[in-house]
Amino acid sequence: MSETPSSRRKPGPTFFTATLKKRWASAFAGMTMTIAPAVADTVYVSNEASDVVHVIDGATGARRGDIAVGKRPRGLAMAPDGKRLFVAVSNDNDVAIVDLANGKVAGRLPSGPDPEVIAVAPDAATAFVSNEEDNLVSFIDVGSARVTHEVPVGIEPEGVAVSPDGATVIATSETSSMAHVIDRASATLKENLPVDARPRWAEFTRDGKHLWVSSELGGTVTVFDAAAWQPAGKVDFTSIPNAQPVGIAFRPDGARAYVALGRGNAVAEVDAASLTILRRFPVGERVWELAVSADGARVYAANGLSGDLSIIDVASGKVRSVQLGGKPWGVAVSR
Amino acid sequence: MGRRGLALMLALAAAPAGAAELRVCADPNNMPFSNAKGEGFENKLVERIAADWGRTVQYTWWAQRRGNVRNTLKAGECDLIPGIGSAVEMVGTTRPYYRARYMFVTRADRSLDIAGFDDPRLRTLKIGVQMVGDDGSNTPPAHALAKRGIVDNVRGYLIYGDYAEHDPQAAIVRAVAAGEVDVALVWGPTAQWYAKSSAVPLKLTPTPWLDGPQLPMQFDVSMGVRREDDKLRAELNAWLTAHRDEVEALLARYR
Repeated sequence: MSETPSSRRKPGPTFFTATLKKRWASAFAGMTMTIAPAVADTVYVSNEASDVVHVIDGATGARRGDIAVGKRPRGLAMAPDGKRLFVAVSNDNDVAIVDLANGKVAGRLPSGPDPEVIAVAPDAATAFVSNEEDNLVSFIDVGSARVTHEVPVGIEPEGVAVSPDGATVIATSETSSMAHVIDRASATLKENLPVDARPRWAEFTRDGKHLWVSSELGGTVTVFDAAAWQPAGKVDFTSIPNAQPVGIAFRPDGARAYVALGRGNAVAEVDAASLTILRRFPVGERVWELAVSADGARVYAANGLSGDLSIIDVASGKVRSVQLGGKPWGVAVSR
Repeated sequence: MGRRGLALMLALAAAPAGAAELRVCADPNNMPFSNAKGEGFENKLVERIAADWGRTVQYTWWAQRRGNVRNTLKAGECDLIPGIGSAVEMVGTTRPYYRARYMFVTRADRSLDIAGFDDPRLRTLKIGVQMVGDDGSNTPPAHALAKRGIVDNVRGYLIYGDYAEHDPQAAIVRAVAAGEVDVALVWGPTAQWYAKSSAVPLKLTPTPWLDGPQLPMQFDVSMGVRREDDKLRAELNAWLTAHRDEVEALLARYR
């Protein structure tokens, strides 16, 4: 660069920069209902501008209601038993726990400042959040509602993931362009893995053998061997116009990955073994986070700029839009 | 349609619609990145893009200093800054077109082979380090030395250099060649460019890629446009993706 890089702290991130078009269309107006697939599920979408979590029927796209959770909800994590939803409430500096039986906030956890992405351990005992402004990952003991550890990571941590065996926590730091491997038991940093520019999301494969890290600016996903922590492959999206890989979700059988392409306004389907891009589904504008239905039949995509949820029917490749307004951010699905 | 007509149409089709000029803000005295004679790799890169798009480069010269982005790109004086840290959020950054790292620069005849910040010799050798100086921030190697208490034997060289000089960024590399310092910590492209033409053979060793999670020593470099200028950013991204090998070959000529 012309200017030698300094370690000056950059101002906070503003991922959703463009002026939001107000599109408060009715969810049902003009929508042609298609035949619903057999397995019903419920989709939860955080909306950072509307301060709610939307509840949507995954099969029909029908809106079931909204849950007020606090100011600027972003990251979502479903509890392993599927009965509670953890919501990082960024401007309230806490985590809301929603009881999905009644759709009410049943409790709150401290999170440290400005929690963004949240992951919950398979034993549900610990939640992990990224605190972007403080360059920390906070470990939150769910039972006692206390922050037990603050692990310093790189600059502007964002993506957080926990391994299927619960032993390893990952954070990605946007400005430092790395993924951090944290040992959960000791709450210490084990490895710093270099990735392409502006890593946004980390996701373990369902078998826990690999870690996928998306790089928004680099236009790639780097795949790591999750035992040796060595690069095992890369998915290159740079030939797709405007593709900025962000959210990643795997099909339950582990054979397919879905990658949200941000400003590319599409979701890519990737063969998880060969790392080849199989299909591309056009979705709304500035697609961010993804979730896959328990039967693998549908992919749900939150579109921050167009204010809707895209529901992709994987078999037919057809995409429908559920208008939500505001800025949809995170997606979780009941199992 | 005649052959000339067809060629003209193809040229128009390849060029993004809009002005006949590609308006670039660059530093007039900042080799190997750019200079007013057009010798830097950033000059060559924007001239290559402009040629492909059927435009000419129109430069606004402005020294890389604090406030230069505000006074140039953001003030509408130009539409493109050819080299800026990919993580800089005050501009819209393209995909990175190179990644570079800070280097240890020593004289080849000294055989010092310093490869890490914990080398005990760094406590006694004379060290040159790049400093930012005018806004209280500092380069990562300066932080890496300071946090180890290595201060007294360190001499700072402003990254902005002295504009009365012909090659302001050369001073730190020339200080190694002249034996004024034993080792210098220099941003990769600068180190490589001035080492190339040094009469005294120099050895360049990359620093470790990071010194703790918050002190990376390597950075991605992009082109910068105004944040809202999605169109130009997309056009540049497409160009950079299509010309990856050519860009790499261009950069290699400066190493």
